[in-house]
Amino acid sequence: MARLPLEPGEKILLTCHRHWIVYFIDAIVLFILFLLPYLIFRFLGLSEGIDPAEREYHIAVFAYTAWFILLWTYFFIVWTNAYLDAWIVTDRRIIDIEQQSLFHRSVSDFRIEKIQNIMVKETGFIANMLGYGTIIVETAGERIILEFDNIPKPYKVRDLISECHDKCLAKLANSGISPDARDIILEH
Amino acid sequence: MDQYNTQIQDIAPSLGLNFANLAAKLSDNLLWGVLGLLAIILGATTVVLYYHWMRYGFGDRMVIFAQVLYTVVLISGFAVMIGSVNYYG
Repeated sequence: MARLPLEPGEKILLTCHRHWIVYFIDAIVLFILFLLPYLIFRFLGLSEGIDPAEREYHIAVFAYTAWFILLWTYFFIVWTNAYLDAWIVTDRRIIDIEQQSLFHRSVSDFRIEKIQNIMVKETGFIANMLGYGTIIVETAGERIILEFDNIPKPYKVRDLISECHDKCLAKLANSGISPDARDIILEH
Repeated sequence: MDQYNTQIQDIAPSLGLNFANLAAKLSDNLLWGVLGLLAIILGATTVVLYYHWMRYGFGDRMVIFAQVLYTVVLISGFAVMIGSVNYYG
């Protein structure tokens, strides 16, 4: 198992995955696709005279099961891409893992003290009702913008990041170190 | 409405598109071939998914749950398909 590249003494405060609505919408679409052959068969009368004791019944079961496991596997591909796309907030950094597809993954991180602005967007009725939205974090200096869509409880996440940011700045001010941060982008 | 539905349902049988007729043309060897092809495609996909879950799942409980659910349903699906082909094979 790969380990997160944490610094000595660094603590993970929060791991943010996408809101379940993202998978739910995909699941609904796949469920409709699952029902589609059955509905077409019924509607066009293709299933006329199929006897459960006959060979054709077992072929229909075979075909439908094959269709189901193809959709099942596709759902897990979509789910894996969405679920492994995550933000990890530690007491020092934000690690952004971008899982765009099964063969396209990138990990970037930046130090919390470099944050200049955090913006939360909850757009739409459903997003407001279910409490998910987008967080946009801007950093000073090289002006990196980090965006995470469909995140659950975005205001809570923003508060946590702000709190960490304040603590980091206070720590640096006490130790007299300038907030000299570095960003690492690792492409896999 | 019933009359309309009945008419639509009569279209396929009138064209000879009956599933029983289609199924009669499928040999058991063809079904085993389809099953083998599916096993290869889904086997390869499963390996890639497992690789991601094991390597990047970081021991997350949700990932472990998904892994178990996916595997159990996939194996059950294959068992049903093998049973269906084997029934008259």
